Amino acid sequence: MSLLTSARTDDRHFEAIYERYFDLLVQISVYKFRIPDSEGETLAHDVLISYLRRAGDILDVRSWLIGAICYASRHYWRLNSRTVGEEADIELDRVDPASLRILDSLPDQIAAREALECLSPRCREILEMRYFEGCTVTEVAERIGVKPKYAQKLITKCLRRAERAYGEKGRLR
Amino acid sequence: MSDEDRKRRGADPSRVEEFAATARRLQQERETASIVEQALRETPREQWPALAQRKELHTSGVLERLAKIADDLERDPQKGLAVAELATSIAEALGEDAYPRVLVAQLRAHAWKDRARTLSYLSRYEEALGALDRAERYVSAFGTLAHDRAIVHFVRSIVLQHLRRFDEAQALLAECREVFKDHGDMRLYGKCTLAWGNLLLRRGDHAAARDIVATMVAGADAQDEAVARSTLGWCAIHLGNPDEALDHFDDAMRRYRRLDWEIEVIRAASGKGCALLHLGRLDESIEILEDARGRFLDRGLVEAAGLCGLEIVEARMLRDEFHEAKTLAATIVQEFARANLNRRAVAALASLNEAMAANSATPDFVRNVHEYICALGTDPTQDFKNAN
Repeated sequence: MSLLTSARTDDRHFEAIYERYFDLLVQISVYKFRIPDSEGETLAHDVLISYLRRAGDILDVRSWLIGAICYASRHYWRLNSRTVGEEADIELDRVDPASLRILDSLPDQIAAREALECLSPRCREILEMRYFEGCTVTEVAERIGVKPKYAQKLITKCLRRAERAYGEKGRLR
Repeated sequence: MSDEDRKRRGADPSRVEEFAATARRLQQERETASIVEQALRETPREQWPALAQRKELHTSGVLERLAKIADDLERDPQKGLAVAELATSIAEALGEDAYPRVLVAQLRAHAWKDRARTLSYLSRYEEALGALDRAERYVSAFGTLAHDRAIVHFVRSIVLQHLRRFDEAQALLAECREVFKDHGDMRLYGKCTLAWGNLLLRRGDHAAARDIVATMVAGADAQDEAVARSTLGWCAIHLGNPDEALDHFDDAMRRYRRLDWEIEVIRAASGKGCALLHLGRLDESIEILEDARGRFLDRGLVEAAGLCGLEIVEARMLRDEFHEAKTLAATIVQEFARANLNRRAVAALASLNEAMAANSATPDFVRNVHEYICALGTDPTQDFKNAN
């Protein structure tokens, strides 16, 4: 086999590994460790790059990569919790810009509660805390055991779902 | 989380390309890494540091090849150190953007870790810890390098054992084992387990050492199995099972010979001699121990030779060969004193020597001195209790 052919084979082999595992690694970091999407993708990429140097020693690629992304995700939060602490609540207790439009569009509490019924229990709990119990983002974060930044992200995400659910209910009416 | 939420993410094509290009480059660099061997052959050793200036050697492949050369510590540890020093110079000379950042950090960290290993082999432990600090700084910056960091910690745990900082070493080993296990790396997990067993052995917890090492023998590679057999042999001696010890040491010697680990063959042979002594097979024991002692002395390993010698003294006394025993005991104390070994060890040997001269020494006293000198390895400040 010529060097060129060999290089092509290696390319395909490594590209296949990347494509096979990238999604899995991102899913773990985003859904298991709740890392923001773009950060999760960067971590997954770094894990795959670091695998390259050790590829010859690793017998069980899948286990190694999963172990690496789990440790990388925990490390991410260790670093992130420090930076979140420094930012304090400067931004977090403002009304979410993304929520203003949605709240304005909800005609009344009943409709809002109906929309909440369509959400997952976790989303329902988060939005109830934030908008019916009047918790700050930091308080929501404390109660569900996550960092404030991530709580903010969850609130926005759940609101979008509520908006979709509310729209569908409106159409049904 | 619903399936709809967990949408499949396509990898960014530019990242796939970066990954494939890096993979291709590493592969090509491995294929051309022999240039460094040629450079080492053609350059006098004292000029090796200057090789770090040659740009064509600033590659991952060259660093990997140097790591392999430096790994051959058994044959020539000074060469290993010179190569490891060259590797760290090259790694530090790499541009920050020579490879993806995480890879540059890996390359530098492993070069420093290898340097630490060679320093440790040469008993330069404080320098080894300094090199490991450098290695750790690189890997700590990246959460994705937890496995690499555990490898650095593993080497640190070995250095700490040499410095008799056993609690710290044990804590690091526990942490490393966990990381290797979480990464599905059962090879390094096994090595960690073995290191843990040896640490327990050095601390005198022989039953725990035997139990932990016995769990990893079946799945171990050739090197680890040889080390494990030897460890199990020493455990069996201390636990009063010399028959079992004899089997383990015979097995360990065969395996070490296959690996061409000469010093370890001698250590296992000394274990076999010790097992035979415990079994009362004195002639065989003396023959094996004398051979091992001579080979230790040839390699400048005075303490190991002295310990073998004490076993021989004990065997000779059991055979009523007091004159030979007396002469050998006198020789051992001189060897220890000349080699500037632990003053407490020298003092204990001197008291044995005096007792031998006064014909008041017993085989038990010889064993006490032997055990005391071994125990100084764990606590070099403890006092000798003369119970003759």
